[in-house]
Amino acid sequence: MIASHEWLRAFVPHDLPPAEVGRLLGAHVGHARLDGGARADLAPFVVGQVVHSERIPETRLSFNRVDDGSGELLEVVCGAPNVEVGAKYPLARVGTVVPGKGGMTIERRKIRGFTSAGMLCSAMELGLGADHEGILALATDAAPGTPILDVLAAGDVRFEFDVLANRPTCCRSGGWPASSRPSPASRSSAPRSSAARRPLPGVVAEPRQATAAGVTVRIEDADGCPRYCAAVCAACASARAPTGSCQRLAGVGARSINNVVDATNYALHGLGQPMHAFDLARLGGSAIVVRRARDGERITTLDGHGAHVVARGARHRRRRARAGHRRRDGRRDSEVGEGTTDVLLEVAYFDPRRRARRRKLAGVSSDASYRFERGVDRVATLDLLRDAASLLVAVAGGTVDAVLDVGAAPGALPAVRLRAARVARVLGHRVADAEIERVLSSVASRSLATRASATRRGPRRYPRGGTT
Amino acid sequence: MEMHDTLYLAGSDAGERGPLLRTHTSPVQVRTLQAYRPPVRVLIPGNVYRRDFFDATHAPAFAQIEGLAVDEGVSFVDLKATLAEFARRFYGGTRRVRFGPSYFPFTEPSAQMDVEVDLGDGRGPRWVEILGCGMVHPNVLDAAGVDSERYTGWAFGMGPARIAMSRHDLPDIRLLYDSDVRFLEQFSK
Repeated sequence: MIASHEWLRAFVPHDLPPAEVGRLLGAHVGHARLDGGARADLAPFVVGQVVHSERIPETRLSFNRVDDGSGELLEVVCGAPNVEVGAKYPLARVGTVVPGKGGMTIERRKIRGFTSAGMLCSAMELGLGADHEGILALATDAAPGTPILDVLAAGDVRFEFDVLANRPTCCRSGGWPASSRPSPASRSSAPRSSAARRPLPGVVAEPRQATAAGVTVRIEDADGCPRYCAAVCAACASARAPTGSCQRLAGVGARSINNVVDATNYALHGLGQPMHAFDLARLGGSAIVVRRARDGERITTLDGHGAHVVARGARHRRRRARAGHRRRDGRRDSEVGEGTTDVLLEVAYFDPRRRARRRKLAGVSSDASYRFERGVDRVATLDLLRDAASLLVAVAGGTVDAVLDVGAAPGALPAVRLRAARVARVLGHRVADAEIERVLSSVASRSLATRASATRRGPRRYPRGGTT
Repeated sequence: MEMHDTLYLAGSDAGERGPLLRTHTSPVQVRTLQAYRPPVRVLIPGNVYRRDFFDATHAPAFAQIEGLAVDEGVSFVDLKATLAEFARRFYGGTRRVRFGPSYFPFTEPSAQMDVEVDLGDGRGPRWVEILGCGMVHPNVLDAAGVDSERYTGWAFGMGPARIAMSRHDLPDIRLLYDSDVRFLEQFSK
C-alpha cells in the first residue's frame, strides 16, 4: 500500500512534516517506510520565467530569454505554441536529464542560428501526464530558480507499508484511525469535487437481476459476488485527464489513463473501493453476467499480458453477452478509451476468500485484488457507486441515466462488544471512555450505542477485525 | 487473506494431504495450556517453516523461541516491560527499540518489537523487526480449557537469527546457515 502525503493532507488537513506523519503511522497503523520524494528525478528542474520571446521566421519555434534566478538570462529555443512573456514554466538547464524523453540530457545547441541552453518542459516531458501540446504553465508566485518540486504536487512524499490483515480501512487514504491523526479534532472526509453534485436517478434494486437504461445485470454466483451495483453514465467525454489528477495518482504510484479511468482509480486509492468502468458500446450493449468460470476458460486481463488459463471454477467474472445469446470472452476490448461516450461503472462486493484463491490460481495480483482480499466496506457499496458516478460526470460531463443494485446488502451486521473494564484489565492501563469512543468512531462510521453496563457496540462493516 | 504461504509434506496417493509444517511456534501455546494449569510461564524453542525466498533477511526454515505467560492479572504492560528489559540486557542498553502495532490471529492486541541496526553500509541506522507479540486471544485460552474471564496471558515469538543479526550487525541472514569457517571463527572466543 502506498499513501501520498499530499493526498492524506487533502483528507485530513494538517501542517505536520512527513517524518512526523510517518512516525504516527508507524506507532498506530503499521510500520511505514518513508519514500523520500516520489519524484527525485525532478529535483534539478526549476521555475523559469520568460522575459523575452520572438518567433524564429519560417519555423514553429520561438527564441526566448528566460530568467532562471541565476542573475543572467538563459537563451532557450522552444517549439511549443503557448510561450508567453511573463509566464513561468518548468525549466531544464544544460545537463538535466528529462524523464519523459527517454532520459535525454539537455545540451547547449545551435538551432537556426540561435543558441539554446535549456528547455521549457511540457507535462509529458516531466513524466507528469500525457499533455505534450504545450509547455506546462505554472500558476505560482515562486521566484524564478525555485525548484519545481517546491511548486508542484509532484514534490509529494510517499509512505509505503503493509496493511495488516485486520486493518482493511487503511487501504484507503481516508481510512486512517483517529489515533494516528494529528489532532483529535481533525476528521477524515472525502474532498468533494468542486462541481455541484447533480441529482442521481432512483435505484433499481433486485435480488438476482435488474434492467435499466437498456442494461441488464445478473448475478449467477451470489456466494462469490453477493452484491453488484452499476451506474449507466451517458454522453461522457473520455479525454486526457487534467495534470492535477495525473499528479495525484502519480503520488500513489498509479499512472494516468484518461479522465474516466482516473476517476475510478481515484475512488480505488482514495476510498479503498476497486471500481471498473466499461465502455458500454464496446461491451456489446446489453448484459453483465457475474458467474464462475468454466474449466479451462481463458480470459484476457486489462493489462493485455495475454490470456491466462483459468483453473477449475476458481474465478467468478463479468462477461458480456449480446442480446442474441452470442457470448464473447475477454474484458480487454471493453476498456474505456478514446471515443468512449457511454460508460458502465461497476462497484461490487466480492467474497474476500474467493478473491484470494482466484489471485493465486490466476497468478495475477492487482491493486483491486489487494483490497478485495482484505475486505472492502460491504455496507457502503451503493454509496460509493453514487460518489464515484458523481465524480465521473463532474470530470467527464454527461449524465447518470440509471443506477442498478443487484444482490443483497448485508443484513444486521455482527456487533463488536467491548467492555471498558476488560480493556483496562488486558492492557494494564486505564483508557478513558471518551478516548475509546473516539478511536472506535474513527473506524466504525456509524454511531456507537452505549449500554448502561458499559458495553459498547459498533457495527462491523468489514469482514475481519480484532475482538476483545 | 493469508499471512504466510505454508509448506506441507506430500500426502498419500489417496489424495490426503500430509502434515502441515507450522509457520509459528504458537500452536505450542494450546498444547502447554492443555497439559498445565495456570499460572504458566514457559519458553519454547522450535523450528518453523514458511514459503519464503532464502534472501538476506528471510529463511524458509528457521528457529523461533516462543514465550508464554498466563496468570490472573497479566496485562500488556507486563509484556511490554518484560520485552523492554530483555532488550536492555541483551543489547546493553545502548540500542533503541520500539513497539509498533501488528496482527496475529492468536493474539489481541498484537504488537511487534523493532531494534535499530546500523550495518555500516552508509545507509544509516534502520529498524529491524525481531519479534511479534501480543495478549493471548481469549479463544486460545478457551480452546485449551482455561477460563478467559479469569486468566489473561501474553506471548511472543522471536527469531534467534534475527536477534543475532541485530546484535552483531550482520548484513545477511544466510551467513548463519552457511557454516563458513571464516565467519564462525569470529565467534570462537
